[in-house]
Amino acid sequence: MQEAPVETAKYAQGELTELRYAPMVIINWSPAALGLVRALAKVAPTSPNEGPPVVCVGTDSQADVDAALQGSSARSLLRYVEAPSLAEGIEPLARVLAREVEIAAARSVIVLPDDKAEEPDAASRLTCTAVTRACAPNPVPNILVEVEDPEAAYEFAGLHVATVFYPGYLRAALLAHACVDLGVFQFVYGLLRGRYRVRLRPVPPELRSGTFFEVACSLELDDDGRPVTPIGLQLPAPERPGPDGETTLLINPGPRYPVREAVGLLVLVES
Amino acid sequence: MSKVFATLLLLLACAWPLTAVAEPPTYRWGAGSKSGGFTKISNGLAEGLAATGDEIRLAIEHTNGSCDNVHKLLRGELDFALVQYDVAAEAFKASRAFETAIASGDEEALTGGGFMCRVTAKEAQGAELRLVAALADGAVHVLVRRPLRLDSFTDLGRHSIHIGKLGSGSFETAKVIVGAAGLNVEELDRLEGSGGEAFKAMREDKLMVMLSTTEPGDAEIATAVGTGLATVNPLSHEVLDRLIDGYPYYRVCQIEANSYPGLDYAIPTVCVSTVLLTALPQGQDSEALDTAVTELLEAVAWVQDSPAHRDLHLERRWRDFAEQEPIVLHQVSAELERQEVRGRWLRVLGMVVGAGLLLLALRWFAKRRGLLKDPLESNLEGQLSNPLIPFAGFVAIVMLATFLVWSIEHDSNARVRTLNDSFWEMNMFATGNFSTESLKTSTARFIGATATIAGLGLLAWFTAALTNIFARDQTRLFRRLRNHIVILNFREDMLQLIRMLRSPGPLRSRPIHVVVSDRLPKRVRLQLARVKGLTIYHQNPEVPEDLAGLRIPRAARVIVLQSAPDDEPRYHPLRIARAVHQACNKFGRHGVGAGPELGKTGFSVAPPLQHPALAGDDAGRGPSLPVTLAEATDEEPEEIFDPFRRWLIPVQGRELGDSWMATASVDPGFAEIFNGAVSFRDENSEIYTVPLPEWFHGHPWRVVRRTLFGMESRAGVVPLGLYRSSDSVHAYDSRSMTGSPQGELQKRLLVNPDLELVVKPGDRLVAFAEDEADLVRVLKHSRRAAADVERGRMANHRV
Repeated sequence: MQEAPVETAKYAQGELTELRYAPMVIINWSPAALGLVRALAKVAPTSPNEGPPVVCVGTDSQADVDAALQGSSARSLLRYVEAPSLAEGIEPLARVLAREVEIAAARSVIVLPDDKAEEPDAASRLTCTAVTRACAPNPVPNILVEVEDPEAAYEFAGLHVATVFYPGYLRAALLAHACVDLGVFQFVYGLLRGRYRVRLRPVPPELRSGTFFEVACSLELDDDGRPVTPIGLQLPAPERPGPDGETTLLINPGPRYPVREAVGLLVLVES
Repeated sequence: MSKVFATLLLLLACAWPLTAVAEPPTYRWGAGSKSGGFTKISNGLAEGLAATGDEIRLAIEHTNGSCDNVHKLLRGELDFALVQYDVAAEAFKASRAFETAIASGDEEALTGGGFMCRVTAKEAQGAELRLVAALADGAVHVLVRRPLRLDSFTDLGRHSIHIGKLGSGSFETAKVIVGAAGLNVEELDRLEGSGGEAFKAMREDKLMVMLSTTEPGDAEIATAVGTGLATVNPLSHEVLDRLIDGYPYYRVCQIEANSYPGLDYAIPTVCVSTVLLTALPQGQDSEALDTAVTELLEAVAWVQDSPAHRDLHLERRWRDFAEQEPIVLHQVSAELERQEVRGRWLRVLGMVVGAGLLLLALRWFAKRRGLLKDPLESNLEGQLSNPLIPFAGFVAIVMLATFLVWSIEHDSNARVRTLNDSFWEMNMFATGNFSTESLKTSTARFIGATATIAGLGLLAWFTAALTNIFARDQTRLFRRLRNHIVILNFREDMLQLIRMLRSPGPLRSRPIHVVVSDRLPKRVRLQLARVKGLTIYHQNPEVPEDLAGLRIPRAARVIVLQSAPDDEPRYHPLRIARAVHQACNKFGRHGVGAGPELGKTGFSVAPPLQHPALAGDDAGRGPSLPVTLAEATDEEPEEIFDPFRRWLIPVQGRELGDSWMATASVDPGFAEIFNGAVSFRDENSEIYTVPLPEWFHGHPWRVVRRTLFGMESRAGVVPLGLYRSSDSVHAYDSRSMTGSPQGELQKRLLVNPDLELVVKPGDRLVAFAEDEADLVRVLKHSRRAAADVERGRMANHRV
């Protein structure tokens, strides 16, 4: 039985037969964010023939970036594209993203805060608009935006942003769990480090009429005989999806919850 | 032969008188009436003398009481006598008056009997009265036949009255009281006779008032009060004041509540003591008299301790039984008093030394246990700003002044009979512009004025300290410093952390102590100040002495944060970590120079490498260090924290953020799952660990898993794995730690454990649940479900 990351609801539903390769794009990137490139290369490695897994877009000059990356082991992991500043408007950026980056074909897009902008979150919003225009008429890939002000998250509604990330919240969550319970902290830490992963599995046909409890009791081991834990269900998207087309994940649905309508089963596995 | 026998008989006859001479000497003793209180005391003492060696004996003479006794004593007809102190003092005064009368040649003054019991100066001529001891107390009882009640003692002349037997001390005292009321005995409708006859007359409605000086609780008075025949009337303040002013041989006292049946309140009156008097033979002391006094005092002590004589209520005193005590103590008594005073002071000194040693031992113990604050923190400024200090001082001054004024005045001031009276009179004094009505003596007034002024000063200090507290960002009078969370170098974006720690998920809410820099905006400080159980400190987190007051070794967790980018000065997490270590070291060893190798000064130009500040301490003997999380900088490798790795977990915020974004960018569902797992929100499940109950111990994980998947309370439970307990003092066990500190913790966390893994005591369940309370509830009711699973029956259980 094949397993997949949660992202691929379509894959789980059988609409896709294989995961396509596509680079990941980071906008407003600077050499200071090299760690993110390494992290991306780690979660989605590519073969050398397919080219670098990450395309970085920034306003620094190519020469400056080359000088900063000289001798770095991460040089081969990225392709840098110099883009015009937003001060010149959205269109010049959208043109670069469409032609040089081919952003419509990207697997995902990460928009970092523009340190040079007076209001970085507003600049990120304009960047998302540029991404949407650059992708038109094709579907917009998953966009993840890092914000400096968590209150700015609502401003990204309707811009096809799948995830808004506020680093302060992550630090706070980690430290809070470390204060409350070291065991939980360790689990969360493992989740972050990729030690534990949540996989989406199709619901076994013979259990389609059963409950979450029956599925959990029957699914104790994976195909390799390693213990696994079903933690929830992925439900179908609502009939009238929101502008961002989000799916619904239901963690700990309760023992009597029927699984017949679930798109897939969320299973915790150890890497 | 017959001559020898005759000689022996003669010798025996001669020796017989020698035996008779060895009989103990007998002293003439003045008691009272045959059934009176004096006689009972005298019999008790005679018994005491017999019991304590039979060195002397008493020839008890029955008399009419104090007057008779004092006359006979002055005339040399008695050796010892029991006398009421007012009568005794008047007789003593008469003996002193003789010399004055002789010098003035006033014959009238010599023979006139103006003193109590008509003792004249001539009669008292040359008599050297000596006080052996005060033995018992008598209180003046004004007994009135119900329903009569005396509001004014001038009304005494309108009712039939009995004031005691002529010649008794009670009679003399009554005369004084009547005089204090502005009357003369001759003006009274007085009933003669004994006490028994008086009670009989009262029962027959022939007597309305009785004045009797006897000990509180007297049986006959109790009967009269208990049967509702009569009641005890208080002496008015005016009479009391006049009495004490004119005759300072009494003292103000009260007949306590419940001394008589139905007497529910204390009655103010005067008390007078029964004393044992002697007169020096020919004005000189003698060895025989000294021996007799010694024996008598031994007998008094014996009676006092004897349970059979408890009803006599004997209590030997040398002083402090009257407002003034003019009669000189007998030299034996005076010597005994000196010994007792010396012994008392030695006892006090011993107690003070003992208390001091106890305090020192407690201090030593508290320091050893780390309960005492660091001495560096106990500065004067800290004490001055604490409002409890002036308040405690104010209370102490009020209590001390109340006690001192009561000690000084309770014998002479009718308004200050009890400590309660003293407290209220002090208040009257303080609030009535130092009115002289309340306190009589100048010493008491001085104490009152001093206490008032000092008290006002302390109250002003208290108000100022309290105002200072309210003017601060935060009002915290009490801090809990155990199992607390310490956050060092707090910055604004970490408000999220505080919100999470105070969110509704976890059962236990720990106190939080936050050290902030002066650069933290006031609005953030105000936000922090509103958080329940959070205390703010403005201190330098890199200075160990500043951290000592946070009691870090007792903390559950310490979080070390980086400085905000625009903060100045900037504190480095590594330097803060060092300070944390030093602070724990100071707390554990209570010395600035932590190691013996640094000497007393705590300085060393080249500290040894093994000093704990550099090398970490040995878990076996080192101070306890709480689990500490340090926010590591992006620029520096996390290995810079290696010296502290047994207790410190570096958290690389940026690196983890990159990891999060990378995973979320390829897997948007991850963000939702992660957020749900770590957010304590009402509408989703989070991860908790709770101890597994004993019925799971020894069973395989499969049983736990199947049992809990089938259970439901507010929501279901998803068992993820086990977290194995550790008895290690520190976050990590150094003996088993091979790699990173995270590796050590990771070994204890078993996610998706083998289905046959056996659960051990101390194992904690890691699970998704609605909240911690819900998970605890489910586990509490899981016993039957677990038994069902073991029997192969799997079903849903709702609790």
